[in-house]
Amino acid sequence: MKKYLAIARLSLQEDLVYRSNFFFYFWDQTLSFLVQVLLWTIVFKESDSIAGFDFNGIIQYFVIVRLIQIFTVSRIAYVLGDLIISGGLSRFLIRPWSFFWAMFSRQLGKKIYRFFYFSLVIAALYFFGFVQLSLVKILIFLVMLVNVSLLSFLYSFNLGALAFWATNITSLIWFFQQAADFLGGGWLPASFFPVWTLWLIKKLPFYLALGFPAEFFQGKMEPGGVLIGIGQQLIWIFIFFFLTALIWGKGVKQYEAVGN
Amino acid sequence: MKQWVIEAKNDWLHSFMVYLVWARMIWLRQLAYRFNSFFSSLGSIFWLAGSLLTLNLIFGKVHSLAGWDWQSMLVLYGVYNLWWGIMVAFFNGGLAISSRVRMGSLDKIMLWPGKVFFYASMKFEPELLTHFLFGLIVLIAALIRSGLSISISNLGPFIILMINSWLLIFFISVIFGATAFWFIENSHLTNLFWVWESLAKYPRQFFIHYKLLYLAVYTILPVVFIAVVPAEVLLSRSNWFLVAGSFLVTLIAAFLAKTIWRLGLKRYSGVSI
Repeated sequence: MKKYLAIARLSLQEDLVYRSNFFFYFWDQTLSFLVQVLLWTIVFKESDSIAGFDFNGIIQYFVIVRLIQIFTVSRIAYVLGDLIISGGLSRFLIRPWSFFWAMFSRQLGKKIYRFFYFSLVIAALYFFGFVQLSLVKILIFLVMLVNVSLLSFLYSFNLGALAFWATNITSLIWFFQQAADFLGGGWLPASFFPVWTLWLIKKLPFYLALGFPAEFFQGKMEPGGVLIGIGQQLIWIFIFFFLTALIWGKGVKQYEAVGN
Repeated sequence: MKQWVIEAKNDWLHSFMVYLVWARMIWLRQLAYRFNSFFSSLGSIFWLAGSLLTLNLIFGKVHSLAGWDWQSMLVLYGVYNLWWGIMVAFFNGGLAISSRVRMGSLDKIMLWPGKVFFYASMKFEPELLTHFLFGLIVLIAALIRSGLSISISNLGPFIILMINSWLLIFFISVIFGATAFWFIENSHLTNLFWVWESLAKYPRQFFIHYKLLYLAVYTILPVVFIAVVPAEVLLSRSNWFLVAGSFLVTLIAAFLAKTIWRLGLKRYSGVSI
């Protein structure tokens, strides 16, 4: 445990070395969100309510979606893909740790300062009356975030592990991450999709990792639906854990490198 | 003077020959990873189809956006993606200056014969041309469906404006990339480049409610000149004042890029291995 905490701490320090970049991170996130606000401002000038959302509702939805993404999106697929293609994975394999948990700790370290941004925006939303918060709601949301972090990391890890067979997979990762974002409700809320697709979309891990917690935060879920959703998240985490063990085990046997 | 012109001409010719060899190497490397290239094209198609579907879902709920109906938005969408495909395949290499400065690999490039500025910002990603092709298909389909007559009088200016907007983005990518001479790690600053360019797919009337932003998109963030002005030429809604402004903005961007590059280069130090 101690070594994983050390990895997380080093990862945070690594990010804080370049403070100007840290400053631009806030700008990058805020401005890209404002671009979305711009689009929806124009859309809602034509109509007061669209697919069950009014203007405030849709902005609130995308704020929450963005915050979830900031806190949970994983880049491990690219990191693992690069390590496999460059042969750099060898030096990690000979170290006395679990590669999976070492990389998870590294990601955790990188998320710490993002959590400050996250908390700041949530506090601002609460302060200006955009969201209603209660202790129970915050606790359930945090449970969801932990699940989503794991789900996202496992999904990304499995994608990256495909490099054991396909070697260069950067485009494949990009493709599957775009698909996950689209189906998860990152481009549009699920209610914009045709009704006949919703049954399937709401069962997929992508929606459970993005649209579901966002809709919960907006108070659009029944208590029963929340419990079922969390249960489905756990089932997907279990499935992805199983897949990770399988793919990683077979992949490492397949792996060859002549590193320096 | 004559000697200087000949030398400059040889310099550019030499640099271009080096670029061709370099591009050939990239092409061969792409062929080695055909699986990845396939997914790159598939990714582009998915992304384009997804954003087209998103636009369609929105237009399923409203009739027009800031005075742009579905057909004219499709034309703009086609122009933007056509531009984007060529931009990411060839013209946004200025962003790569960041990693070259950070890793110290700019040293190697400085030893190559010819134009260092050109080498530092050259780009070739052929698999992203799928984006261009899809944009072209959407544009042609939108033009046919809208029944607009396309003649040499609007196609000629359109092509010239597109070339101008690729040059504009090249210089702006250099400005963003060259900030690495001062900040070293500037990945989030270069992300702002993508945020900025994403505004290019919206009609300029979208910005009208935000006075400062409206002014900025014509001046310090000249995003309307990228796809909107060329699309308006195709739609026969052109504003000739804006057409002329497109070239002026590119000239200013070229001057700024060159100046920032020169100032940055003076600060550069590296010991690459």
